[in-house]
Amino acid sequence: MDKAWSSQLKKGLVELCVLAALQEGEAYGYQLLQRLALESLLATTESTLYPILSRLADEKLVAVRQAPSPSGPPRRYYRLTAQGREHLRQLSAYWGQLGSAVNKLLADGVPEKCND
Amino acid sequence: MTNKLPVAVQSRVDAHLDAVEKQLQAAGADRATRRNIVDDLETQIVDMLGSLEAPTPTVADIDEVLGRLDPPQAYANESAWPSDRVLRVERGIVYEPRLCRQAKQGAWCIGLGILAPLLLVFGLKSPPARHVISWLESSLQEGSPPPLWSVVLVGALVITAAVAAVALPIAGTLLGWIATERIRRSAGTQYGLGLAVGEALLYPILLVWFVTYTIDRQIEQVLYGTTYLSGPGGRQLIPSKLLWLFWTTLLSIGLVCWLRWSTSPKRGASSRPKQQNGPSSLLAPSNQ
Repeated sequence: MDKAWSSQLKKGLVELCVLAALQEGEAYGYQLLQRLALESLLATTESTLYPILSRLADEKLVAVRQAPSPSGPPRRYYRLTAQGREHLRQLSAYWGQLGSAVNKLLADGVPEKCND
Repeated sequence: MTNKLPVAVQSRVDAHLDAVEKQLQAAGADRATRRNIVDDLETQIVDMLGSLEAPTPTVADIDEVLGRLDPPQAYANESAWPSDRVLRVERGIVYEPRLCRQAKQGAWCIGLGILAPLLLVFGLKSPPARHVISWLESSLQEGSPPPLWSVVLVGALVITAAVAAVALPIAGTLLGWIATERIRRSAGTQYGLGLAVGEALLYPILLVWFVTYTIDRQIEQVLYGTTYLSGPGGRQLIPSKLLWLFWTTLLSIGLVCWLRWSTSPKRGASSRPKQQNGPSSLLAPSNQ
């Protein structure tokens, strides 16, 4: 039950986290999974991440570069595009506002006028 | 591909990737998307195998790695794919509905399936074909034998057109059914439902008409001793013919309505929702 509501809550944030994780520099899929897993609350799985990466690439928010790998098939490296950076900025700003609003609600309760 | 892996290990990797791709396909992901996801996943599997520090990965190693991954079914998770599409629609990004590929292919099959018998009929009426047919009908005895090329040509025409006349309607019907399902699941990213429904039902309806018409003729023969087509009174309309027309038309309309209703996309899935104040991905609909 706990897992269900927390994953629902996190679901909409995955895209923001992925774009933010790419700020560090380009990374291939598995590397990104590991970056996100460094913060245990942000850990996600490949069945969530890879479709999102594919969609972000479709939407030109990330660019893809294929490079040979020493251990197997070529790796697909993702990096933020200018459009992706702008999108991340918007998401980040909105997340700030949303977080503030929710925190305010949790701290102060519903504003007086709404109780009338 | 991971050509350095032992065969048994590689076959397990391939089986897992195939299963993931099938789930993605069933979920409506296009080929490029499926390929990208599977490539990323393959890289991950190889990296995970590499991290085990075994000189040569064994079957036990790959089983252990695959056991740590999401099952293929996770890629068809209804909560992942449709909501991704809905988010695209909400943000107004890259939302270009396209005609369902299966509906397009089905239309070709149906069209060619109609042309094939016509080609056969007109082809057999051509002078070289008539020559071949009359020669065959006389048990190869009368007249001069037709040139070999015309025999080959007529034979190829008959075989091709006959196979096409049978196979293409079946293929078109199947593609129509597949297309209706794909369009229904596409949450508005694919269109062509009317075309798909038409393909799915055209030949089944024709078949129903043919069967009921044949039964009807037999009934008329028993009841009246004649039929609409062969009656001595000319083109009189026998009452059972009206009944046949009524029931088959009703059945056809019912089938079309049922299929159209049962396969229509969920309401609102394909419409553009109201613009939100902020990026909506932070508030993904939880019930998608």
